[in-house]
Amino acid sequence: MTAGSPEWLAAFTAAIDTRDVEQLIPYFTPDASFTFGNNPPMQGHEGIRAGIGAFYSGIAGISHTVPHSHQPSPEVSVAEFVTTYTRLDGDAVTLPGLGVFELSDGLIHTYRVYADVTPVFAPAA
Amino acid sequence: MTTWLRAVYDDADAMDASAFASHFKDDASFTLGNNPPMVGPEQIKAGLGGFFTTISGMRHTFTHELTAGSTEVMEADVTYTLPTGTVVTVPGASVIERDGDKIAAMRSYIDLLPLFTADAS
Repeated sequence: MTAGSPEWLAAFTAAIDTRDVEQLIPYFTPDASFTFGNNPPMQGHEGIRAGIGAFYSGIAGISHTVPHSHQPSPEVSVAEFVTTYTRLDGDAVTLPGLGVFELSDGLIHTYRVYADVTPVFAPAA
Repeated sequence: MTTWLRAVYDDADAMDASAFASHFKDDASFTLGNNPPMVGPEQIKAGLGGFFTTISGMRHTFTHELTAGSTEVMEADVTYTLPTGTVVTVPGASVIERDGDKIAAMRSYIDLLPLFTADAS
């Protein structure tokens, strides 16, 4: 399975959706950088483990689909996501997002996600 | 960046909703953040015009420009000037599907929450 391909994106998003950060870590180089939205980058496996672990603890469920993907080069892949989050209060919210993957030897060394997840954590209406 | 795309962003940064909307096909959609899509130049002009009344300035500084066939993916640090004079920069990315010299679809991904909280504290 070639990194950055639609099949790889499906496997990667399935790993995210397990909410087990250890399923996610093997996709990243040890020195990888992962930036989510307006937050500072998470650096390396330990940074990603801590940041995504905290994110997972703030939600009750997550499920991705990838309606569009683009591969500008063999080393860069872009995924447009539609993500359904289950909030801790049980409400579900579905939001768009975009991920840019920079790849090195089949692993992610830089990952940038653009999304507004405010409704996932906002007080219930 | 192509001249064509530069013109699109120049019109956006000039906060000229009418000129920006004129780059879109009649049935094109533009989606900004978590909002429902605007469809067609008239809706895009109205929707973006409404947004422009809430800010005093906008400037895109591109960080990555990616092309896959007729699709452009633009990543930028977007600097907004609020009516209070406060300046806020947030990262964003847009996917632009091009059809000839028009935009067939544009989807912009950005978290604008800091614009609404910057002056709150």
